[in-house]
Amino acid sequence: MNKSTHLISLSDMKIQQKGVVAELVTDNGSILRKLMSMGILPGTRIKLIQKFPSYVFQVGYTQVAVDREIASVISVNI
Amino acid sequence: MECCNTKQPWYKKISTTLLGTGNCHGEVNQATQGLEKIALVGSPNVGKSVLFNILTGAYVTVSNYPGTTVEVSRGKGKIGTKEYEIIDTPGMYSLLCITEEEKVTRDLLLRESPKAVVHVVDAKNLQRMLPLTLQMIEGDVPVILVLNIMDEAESLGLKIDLKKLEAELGIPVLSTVAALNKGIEVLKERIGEYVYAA
Amino acid sequence: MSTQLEVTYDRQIESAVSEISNRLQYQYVLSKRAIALLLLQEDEDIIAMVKEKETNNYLKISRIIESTKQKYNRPLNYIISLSRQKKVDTIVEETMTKVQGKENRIADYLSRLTMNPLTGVPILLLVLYYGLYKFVGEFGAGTVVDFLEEHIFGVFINPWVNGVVQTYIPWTWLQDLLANDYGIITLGIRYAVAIILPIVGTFFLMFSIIEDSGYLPRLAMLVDRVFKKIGLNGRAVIPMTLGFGCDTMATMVSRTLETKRERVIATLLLALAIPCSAQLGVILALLSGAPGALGVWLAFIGFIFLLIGFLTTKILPGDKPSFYMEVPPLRLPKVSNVLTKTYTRMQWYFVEIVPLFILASLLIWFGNLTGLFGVVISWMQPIVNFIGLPDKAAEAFLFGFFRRDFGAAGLYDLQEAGLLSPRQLVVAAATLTLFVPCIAQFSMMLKERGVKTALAIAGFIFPFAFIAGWALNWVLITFKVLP
Repeated sequence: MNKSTHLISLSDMKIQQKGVVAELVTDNGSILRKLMSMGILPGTRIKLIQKFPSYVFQVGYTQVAVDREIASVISVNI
Repeated sequence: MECCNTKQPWYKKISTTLLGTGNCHGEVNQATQGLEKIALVGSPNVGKSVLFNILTGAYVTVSNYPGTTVEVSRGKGKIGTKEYEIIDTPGMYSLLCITEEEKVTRDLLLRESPKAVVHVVDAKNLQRMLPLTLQMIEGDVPVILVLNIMDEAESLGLKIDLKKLEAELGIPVLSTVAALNKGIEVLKERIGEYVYAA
Repeated sequence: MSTQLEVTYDRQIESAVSEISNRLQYQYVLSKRAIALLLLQEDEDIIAMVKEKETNNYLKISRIIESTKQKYNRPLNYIISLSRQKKVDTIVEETMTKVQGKENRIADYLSRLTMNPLTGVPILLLVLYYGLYKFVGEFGAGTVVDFLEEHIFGVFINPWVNGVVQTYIPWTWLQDLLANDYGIITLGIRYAVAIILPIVGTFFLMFSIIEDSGYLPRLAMLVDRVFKKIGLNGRAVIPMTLGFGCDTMATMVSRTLETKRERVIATLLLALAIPCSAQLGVILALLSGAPGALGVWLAFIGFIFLLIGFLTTKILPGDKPSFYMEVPPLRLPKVSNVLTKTYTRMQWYFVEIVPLFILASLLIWFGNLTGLFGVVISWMQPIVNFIGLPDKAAEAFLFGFFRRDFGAAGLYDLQEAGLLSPRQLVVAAATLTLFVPCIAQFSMMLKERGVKTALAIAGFIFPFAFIAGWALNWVLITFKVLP
C-alpha cells in the first residue's frame, strides 16, 4: 500500500480517482446532516465518476450526485 | 400531515370534496380502524411501496427514484390469520430528520407506536442503511430488518450471512426481492411470530 | 432471540445521555436513551416536544446539552453518527462477503451516457421528441383525439344524444343542459373523453416508463446548474416534469423539495409556465398547423419560465438551494407496474376531472340561460382585445377559469372556425398557458402552500399573463415574426 496519502477536496479529484473520506469540512449543519444520512462519513470509500454538470461519485454500491458546494465539503484521502 | 385531515378550514374541505384532491397522489387509505399497526420504513427508493402493495393487495405509486412516496398510505393486510393495518411511509434516512417527508415518517412512529416496524433496506447498500436500524433498536422500536433487492446484491457478488446479522443485531433479519415477489411468505411468517411474541 | 445490540458512544456522550435520561420524567414512545441522543444532536422537533412536556425540567437538560457541546469542536451529530457508523462497519465486515460478481455492463454504459452532458442532452432531446412530441402530441393528441372526436362523438354519440334529447324532452332549457353546443354530454363528457383522456393517458404512460427506468434522477443531475439560477435544485425536475402531466399532482409532489423557498418557487412556476398534458396536447395540435408557431410559443414559455424563476430568486429571501441525490441504477421498467401506475393516475385524474367538466358545463349553461355568461364575456372582451385577439376568444379564456385544458380546447374550436391568424393563435395559446392555474391546482396550492401564498401567486399570475401576452403580441407585430 502506498502510505504517502494526501488530502484533497472531492471537487479537486480526478475522474475515476478513488479515495477514502477523511473529513467533512463544514459548519453548515444541514449539509453535514445530508451527507451523513446518506452514509458519507470519514472512513467511507468513494470514487469520483463525473464532475460536470454535477459531481457524481460512487459510495458503496450506489451513486450519489451533489453540487459543487457539497462536493467541496468532502475532504478525501487519496 | 395526512391527506384526509379533519381539522381543515371549510373552504379546503369543500374544495377537496368537490375536486377530489383529497385522495391525492395515488395513495391509499383503507378503513383500518382498530387494527394493530405494522409500518414499513427505510431510505428512499428501497421498495417499501412495492412491499406495501404486496402485503395489502392495494396499489400505491411505485417508481425508480427517491421520493416517490410523499404521503402515508394505510391498507389492510392479512398475516397468518390476523388482519393488520399496514402503513407505507415516505423515505427516511435517519431518525434525525431533514425533509418534510422524513418528519411525516418519524411523527408516525412517535405518535402511533406500531406493533412492528419493518425496516426495508437495499441489500447492496447495507452499510449505509444499517445506521437507521441501530437508531431504531436504540429507541426500543420493535424493528424487523428486511434486506430487499437481494437479487441485485447477489449479482454484484455480495453474500450476506443473515443468521449472523440476526445474532449481532438481536432482531429478526430476512431477505426479499419484492419486485419479483420473492421472500414474501417468510416475511409474513416472521412478522406474525414477532407480533405474537411481543 | 438474542439480546438486542447496543451501540456504545464515547464516555462524554454516554455520561450526557445517562444524565439526560435520568432527568426525563415523561414517557416517550422512543426510549429515553434515543430521545437523549436526539436532543444532543439538536433535533428541533424533539427539542420542542421535550420542552413542552418537561417544562421546568428542560432548562437543566439544555444545560447538559450545552456543556456537552462545548467539549467537542464538531457538532455532536457528527460525533454520534461517526461512532454509530464504526459499529455498522464492523457488523457489515463480519456478515457480508464479496465474491466475483457479474456487472451489468449495458446498464452501466447507458447510465454513463445519460449523465454525460455531451450525450445526455441529445438523449433528453430524443426523449422529448419521441416521448412528448411524437407519442403524446402526434399520436395521443392527434390520431386518437381525431378518431374519438370525429368518428365516435361526431358521428355516433353527439347526433344520437341530440336526437334522443330532442325527441323525449320538450323543454329547450333542459335540452341545452344535456345536449347541443354546451351540454353536459355533448360538451362536458366529450371534452373529457375524446380530448383529455387520450392525451393524459399517453402522457402518463410515457411518464411511468421514464420514471421506472430511473432516468429522472439523471435528468435532475444534468439540469441542476440551470435550476440553481432559478432558485431551485436539480431535484425539482421531478415535480416539474410531472407538471407536464398534471400540475395539480405536481404541486403536491413539490413537497419533496427541501426548503420553503424552493417549494414556493416551484409552485409559482408550475402555476405559471408549465402547461399540463391536456393543455399541452391541445396546444401542440393547435400550433402544429401554423409553421413556426410552435417554436415561438416554446421559446416564449421557456423564456418566461427562466425569467420569472430568476426574478423570484432575487426577491424571495431564504437559503440557497443545495443539490444531493442518490442516483438509482437504470432498471428495465416492469410492464405490470407501468400499466397499473398509468391506470391509477388516470383514475385519479378522472375522479377529479369529470365532476369538474360537468360542473363547468352546468355553469356555462346557467350563464347562458341567465345571460350572465354574456356579461362576463363582454367584460373580458377589452382584455382579450388588448392582447390582439378577437372578441370570440374571450369565451376560451372564460373556459380557462374552469380548467386550463378546457380553455385550450375552446381555442381549438376557434381555430377550426378559422377565426385566428397564426400570430393570434400563438398569443392566445401563450397567454392561456400562463393564465390562471385550474381550479383543482389552485385548491392544491391552498392546501400545500397556505392561503396567503396561493392568493399571492394567483394575484400575480392574472395580470402578468395578459401583460406578457400583450408584450408577445407587440414583439411579434413589430418584428413581423408571424402573420
